[in-house]
Amino acid sequence: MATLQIYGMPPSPFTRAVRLACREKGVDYELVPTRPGETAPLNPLDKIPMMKHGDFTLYESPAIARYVDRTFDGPPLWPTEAKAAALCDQWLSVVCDSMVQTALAGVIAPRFGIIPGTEEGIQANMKRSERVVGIFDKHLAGHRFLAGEAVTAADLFLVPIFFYFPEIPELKALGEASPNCGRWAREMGARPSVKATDPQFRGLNR
Amino acid sequence: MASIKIHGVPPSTFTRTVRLACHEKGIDYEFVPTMPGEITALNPFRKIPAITHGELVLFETTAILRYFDRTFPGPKLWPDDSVGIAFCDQWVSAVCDSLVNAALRYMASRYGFLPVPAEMRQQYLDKTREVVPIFDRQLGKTRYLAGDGVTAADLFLAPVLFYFPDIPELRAVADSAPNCARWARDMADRPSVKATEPQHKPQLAA
Repeated sequence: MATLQIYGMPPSPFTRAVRLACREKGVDYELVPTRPGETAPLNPLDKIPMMKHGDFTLYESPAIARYVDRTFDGPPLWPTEAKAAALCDQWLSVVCDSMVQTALAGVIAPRFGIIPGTEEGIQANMKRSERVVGIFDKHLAGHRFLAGEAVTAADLFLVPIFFYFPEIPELKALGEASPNCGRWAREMGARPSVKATDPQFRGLNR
Repeated sequence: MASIKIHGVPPSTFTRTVRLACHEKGIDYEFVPTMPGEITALNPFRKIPAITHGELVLFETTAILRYFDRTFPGPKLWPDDSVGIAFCDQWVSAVCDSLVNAALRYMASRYGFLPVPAEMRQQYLDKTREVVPIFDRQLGKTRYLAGDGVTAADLFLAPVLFYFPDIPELRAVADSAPNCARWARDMADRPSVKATEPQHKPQLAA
């Protein structure tokens, strides 16, 4: 039996982030196909992913990634030095907040038919996404990865969102106009963890 | 001169969380009143709070609290054992995601900071009514969110929950959550909470 069970769905960006963390650490896991709404009562907030490690149940992806990093051997997902760890935390939080609220919830999810959205609302979120992605692109001009010279948890949370950009015409154009994000995405795309977790998902409409 | 400078405004719940953390840990800080539109030089994502510590500029509240806990002596904001840390992380995320995206948005719409259609405002309220009982059940099991001691998770929850009595619909939600009320009384006695009470609260929009 695998060491960990991950409850979630391959297209879910946060499920993928947790799977990426396990693969980067070399932790054996089993993906238990679970839709949002099917995780209660273990997760009263009814969100995916959720993790089980023996009798221990945990939800909220950043909490899971940190637990995996603390508990298992393998390459660290966070830097050890205090300031570098702080910058990793900062970029992870920016991905989970600003990037999720604009590109993921505001453009990708409605374009994929996962949540309802008006054309006007999507366009407004596209404007916000342009500003947010522009800040990431500027940052990645001076840093190989989000928190420095090595891959950290911050990159693993950005991958699942950014790798949907090519599926949505306006986000594809934004991605192509962001050369440093493009360079980062090519480097991340070459990693075995990223290849192994490709969801092959193009929305509910297609 | 205090080595930590906190940029934000007192009514901002996340600004208050950072100040609460300083008071709990006994960290001397200088408060620099800064509106979201004035913070671009420190945080290109234009969100408050941000801190400076010498040359270090840091934004995103969870990253700031972790940095304090790693860098300064004083009572720990996260537990010491791995499972305790994971639960604390989980509840920090649950506040910052589920509760903030429901209750804080509802407050912002009632205070006139977030112009949204009536049906969306209603969705925020409905979601708040779903989420608060989950916190109430947890606080029926443990004295504080992540166990018997105050942790970072409580410092994220307090500024949000302390606005509930000011808005009739949210006061009704709080009145049906007895364990949250018991927790709020415990928290309100703390010197950190008294010292960071906002002097000016926003007024309800007509």
